[in-house]
Amino acid sequence: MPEPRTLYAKIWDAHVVETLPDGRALLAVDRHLLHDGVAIYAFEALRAKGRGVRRPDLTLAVADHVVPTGPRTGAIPYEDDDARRMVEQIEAGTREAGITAFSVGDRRQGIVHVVGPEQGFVLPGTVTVCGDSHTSTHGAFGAYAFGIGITEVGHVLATQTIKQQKSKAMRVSLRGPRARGTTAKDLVLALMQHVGIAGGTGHVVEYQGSAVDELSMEERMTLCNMSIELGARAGLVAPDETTFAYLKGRPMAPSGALWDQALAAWRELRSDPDAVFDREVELDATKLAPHVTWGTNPGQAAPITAAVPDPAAIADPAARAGIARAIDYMGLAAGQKLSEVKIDHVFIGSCTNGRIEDLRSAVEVIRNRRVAPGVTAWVVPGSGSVKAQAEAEGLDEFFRAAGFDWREPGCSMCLAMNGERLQPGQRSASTSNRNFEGRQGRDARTHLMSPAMAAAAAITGRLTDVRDLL
Amino acid sequence: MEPFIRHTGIAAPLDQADVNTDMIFPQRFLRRPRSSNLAECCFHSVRHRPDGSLDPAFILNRPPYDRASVLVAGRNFGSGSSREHAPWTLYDFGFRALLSPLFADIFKNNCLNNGIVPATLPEADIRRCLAAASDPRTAEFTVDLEACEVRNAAVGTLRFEIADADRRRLLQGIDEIDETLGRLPQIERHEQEARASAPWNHARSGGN
Repeated sequence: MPEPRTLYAKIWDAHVVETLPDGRALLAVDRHLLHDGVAIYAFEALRAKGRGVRRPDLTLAVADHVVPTGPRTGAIPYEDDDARRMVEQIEAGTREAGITAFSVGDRRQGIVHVVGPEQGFVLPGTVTVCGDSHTSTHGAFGAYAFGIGITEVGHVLATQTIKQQKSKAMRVSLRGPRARGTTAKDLVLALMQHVGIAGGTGHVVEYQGSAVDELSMEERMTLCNMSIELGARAGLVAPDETTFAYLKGRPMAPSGALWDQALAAWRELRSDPDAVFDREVELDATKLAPHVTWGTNPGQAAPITAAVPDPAAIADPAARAGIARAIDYMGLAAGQKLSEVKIDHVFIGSCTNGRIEDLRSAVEVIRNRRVAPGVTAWVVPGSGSVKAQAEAEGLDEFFRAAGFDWREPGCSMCLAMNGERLQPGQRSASTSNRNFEGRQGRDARTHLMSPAMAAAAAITGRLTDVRDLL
Repeated sequence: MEPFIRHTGIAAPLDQADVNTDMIFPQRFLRRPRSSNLAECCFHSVRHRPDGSLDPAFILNRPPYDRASVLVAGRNFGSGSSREHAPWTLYDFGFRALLSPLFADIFKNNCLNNGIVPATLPEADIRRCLAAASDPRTAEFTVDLEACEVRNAAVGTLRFEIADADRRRLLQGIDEIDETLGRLPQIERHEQEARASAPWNHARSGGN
């Protein structure tokens, strides 16, 4: 009897080129995603050493990080010459290497973690990498997908491999069906609150359980996307009929006889029933309330029905100091009800929540309503394809009628490196993934939540329990 | 990459958990070329007052810590974004070794690729290092990668942990890409096998 293995171990074993003398493994990389935030540095480093790109057919490139998301009718108003150069260099470098690239002007352009899946580029059982921490998104397909640094991007381009030490395995079991008015974002924020932002460090997480089985691919991507916020190297969901139905017919997915062959192999991709995980975590999603963050890391989350915690009630001095610092930065008061916190800005978008289902769920809330006076509300579709789909469904009309700004695709205000940012002190209800100090602009304050919750906040002008508007 | 054997220098205490790479290198500088000196970006938002002047309350703005080359940090250092600009700015500022109870995965890898030692010590030892570093008279630390030891007048000799593979990489300062390119025959053999067993991964359609 072969030893039972986790899904992670199975993918790992299939990709070990060899075990290195220092104990690491040299892993074959099947899929590499490249974006404008790292390409310029990686191509420059390759050029300096006279190295080429070994497998240009296994890399897909997009411009997303520095691209402005205002109207694209004339010249693109880049933040500065450095930003313009970053887009020019990903275009030039990919052209030279023969890499497929969707840059500004291509209707498929968009956020790397939205475009990769919707093109059918990322497949189950692959090792997928990208110079971006939210590469964990692609674990939704049962791919071992993880973020890497810029030096490592160069390594992948030059060799189509990566050297790595194997992580521990962690299983997160989510019991469903999940409660009304909650989404994958609420699941993952609750999980984060439960295990903390270093709860997954050194691990690869596999999500299992009835609350996971019922998730759509978009929702699984939201869940896996935030795995990095637990500190995990990657998050995984074993592929199933939901996965296969999503992939079938996508432009870069296999077709014909190759599809049938792939499907047969993908059906075997799951952890053995008695596989041993190094760590087990369980969470009951049946009684969950919609969650928002109140602090400056994604683990500082709470049900919308709760209040800002009181540092004085925390025994551990380090934890107390951390919470006090977060509350101070956020301009909140201990004991203040979360549903009374007023907001200035709403951002619906990002690789976490910028997909078609996210926009649909926001429209459910804002339909025939108006954005509250004094609130600026943005929708930044995750990709040109998402935008086109939303427009075909008339979602843009609902957003515009409610007073939202309907924008072009990109990362935009999730990390605010394209010139789009909040002013100091401004408070945002955001569907992105990080509420770190300064993340959406210096001294700006970010509350993370689902698209439906962000839509509700846009309508009332304060953090709001979306269940009251459904 | 320069090999790292051992290093002696001033250690700055940063007694804060969960310091993320956004704090180490704010996003407004992410477009800067690597060839520029990134030292000024290091911890920029917490190092400066809103008017742009240096905040004397921040540890790295006070002598002798303004020339620190070792950082003693809280748990979960380097979490968040994969930006390699974080180790770049730390390196340009002068840091050669970091001590923490826990490093975030991607950040740790990025340090290794830039010749910075991420040394893991138990929480209790980090508390002692923070205390020693806080007193300028005992702020000098030696980080010895050969012996896996931290040495200091106040705390004595402490063992630190680092994976053997990581230690060897830093000691030798080898170029990882060159090393891997030396394994091309094995890579090609594996690729041939993968083409046979999972051909759909090697025959993607679509694109242009």
